[in-house]
Amino acid sequence: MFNLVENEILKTIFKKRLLLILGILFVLIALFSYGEKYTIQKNKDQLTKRIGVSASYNWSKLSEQQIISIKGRLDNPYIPDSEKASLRVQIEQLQYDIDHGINPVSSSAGKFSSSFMEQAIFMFIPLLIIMLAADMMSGEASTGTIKLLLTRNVPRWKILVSKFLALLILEVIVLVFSIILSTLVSGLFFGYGGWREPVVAGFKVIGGKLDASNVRSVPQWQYTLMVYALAYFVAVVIGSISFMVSVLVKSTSASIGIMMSTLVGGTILSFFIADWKFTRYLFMVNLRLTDYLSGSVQPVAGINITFSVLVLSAWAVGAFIISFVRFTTQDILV
Amino acid sequence: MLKKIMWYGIVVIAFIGFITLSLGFYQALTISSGKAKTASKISLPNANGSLSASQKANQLNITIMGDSIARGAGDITGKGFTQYLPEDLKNKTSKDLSIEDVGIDGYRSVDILSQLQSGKLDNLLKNSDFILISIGGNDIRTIQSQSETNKDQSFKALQDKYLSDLKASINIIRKSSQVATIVFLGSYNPYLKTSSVEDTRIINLWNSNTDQLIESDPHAVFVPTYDLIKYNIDKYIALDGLHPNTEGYKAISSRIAEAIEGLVVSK
Repeated sequence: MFNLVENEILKTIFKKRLLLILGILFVLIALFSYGEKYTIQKNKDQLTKRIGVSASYNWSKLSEQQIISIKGRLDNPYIPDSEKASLRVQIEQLQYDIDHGINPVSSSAGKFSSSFMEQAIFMFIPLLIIMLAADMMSGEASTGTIKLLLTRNVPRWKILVSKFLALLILEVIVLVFSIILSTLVSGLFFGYGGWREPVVAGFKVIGGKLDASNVRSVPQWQYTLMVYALAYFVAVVIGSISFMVSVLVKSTSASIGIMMSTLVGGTILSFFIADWKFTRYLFMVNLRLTDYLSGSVQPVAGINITFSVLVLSAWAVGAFIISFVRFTTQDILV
Repeated sequence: MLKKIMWYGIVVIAFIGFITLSLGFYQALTISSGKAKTASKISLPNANGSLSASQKANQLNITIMGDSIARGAGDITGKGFTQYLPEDLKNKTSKDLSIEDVGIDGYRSVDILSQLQSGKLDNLLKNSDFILISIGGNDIRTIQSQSETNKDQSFKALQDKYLSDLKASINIIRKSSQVATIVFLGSYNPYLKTSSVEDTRIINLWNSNTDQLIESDPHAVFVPTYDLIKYNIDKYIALDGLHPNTEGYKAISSRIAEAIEGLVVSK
């Protein structure tokens, strides 16, 4: 069985498919970093212009003033308790920046790699995974190699399971390389630091409201790890579903097309998520898992990270079962 | 041979990667799910709630409410008007000054309305002689960043909402206190250096409509700040480019003090 997995993975590598995906990742990360650098520069210029200091603005003074002002807010007895936790984290962040000489407007490899994945998790990473998974089975069918595969003395389920295992491994590789690439490339622009900076985490969605009372700070490296872990989970789910489609459909292009249109259609459907209950059970609208971490989620009653993860898991398990049953029982006519 | 090395490399990467990612996934789930601590009830200081009549006669009570400017953001001490207003007023009256600041950063017109509706401020307002309000800056800032084409339309909607919130807020204040003088601070434009003709028009329209609303109340005065800041941004605006700095608060304070001087002497 391990031979089969090995064979499958090496095939993907020698067919240059993995290389292509990593290439796309590299190009996009480079563009993203450049864009971010450009935006930061523009923001700094605007700030300088607004304040009217010709040379450059003194960010540490500004941060110190912000800390004083936030401390003032904390002392205010009229402020709701739920806001206090995030205010404390804000102070911690600003203090860290001052202590370590970090301009809060600037970026770092640490910040970039997590913000990149937060943007990529619901569209870009799924697309890459679709490229990997969509021809796993249909590729064999459309080229006719499935005949050779099935005439070997291996049970069908072993073929299917080893292909699925290979997919799981390839997904790890894609995620590991995307963190390595984003660190390496963005480090050229922003420097390789920033892994110990505090980041806000711990938002919760309770009863359709974003709850910030348990917000605390985690170091950037841990935050980045969590973001990539969620992205891996998304990759596994999308991988399983594309895998199922590629078992059901004989042509690779059809299977890629089906997955892509579902994905894009899902983003449109997510507009209705608050009003139309059925949409929340679709996998496409539950992909933005990292939004729960960063607290940028649009709270909808009944939807939280546990719900999204459960929906996605159900889809992945369901997809695997369908592909398993279908592949082991179907007649292969090539 | 190369294939073997590659395969083992991949297995090692995948294994380590999988373990770390699983740990991360577990952390991500635990950190953003589960039950939140039930927030403890905010115990509000019952300021000025039980003043005796003689105390009240000897005291001039000022309540400051609204957004970050009311709260004192940008001031180096973070105290804002609570510090500078008494300095300007103490020579004008023999009474003791008592100031309570209930401003909260980021507040919009709808927030002070709900703050008032909660009834927590009723006692405070009942005993106030002056109520200083600064609100609207955060409302109007939401459209300043929008593109020119839909600015006009969204401005109208925003302004209508703001004016109706403000009107409702004043009505609530009047239920607690019929005679307290409401001092309303006009908005200024901290972004003058980067803003367009349209922005200027919008903020002037905003101020003049607010002015009309405020002046329709028999005991209220609108104190403009636009003119004060316009040519003094470098002098009066803090490093954040948005709030007044210490000098700015002093300048606005003295303007408020002048506006209500006659009342302070007689009250």
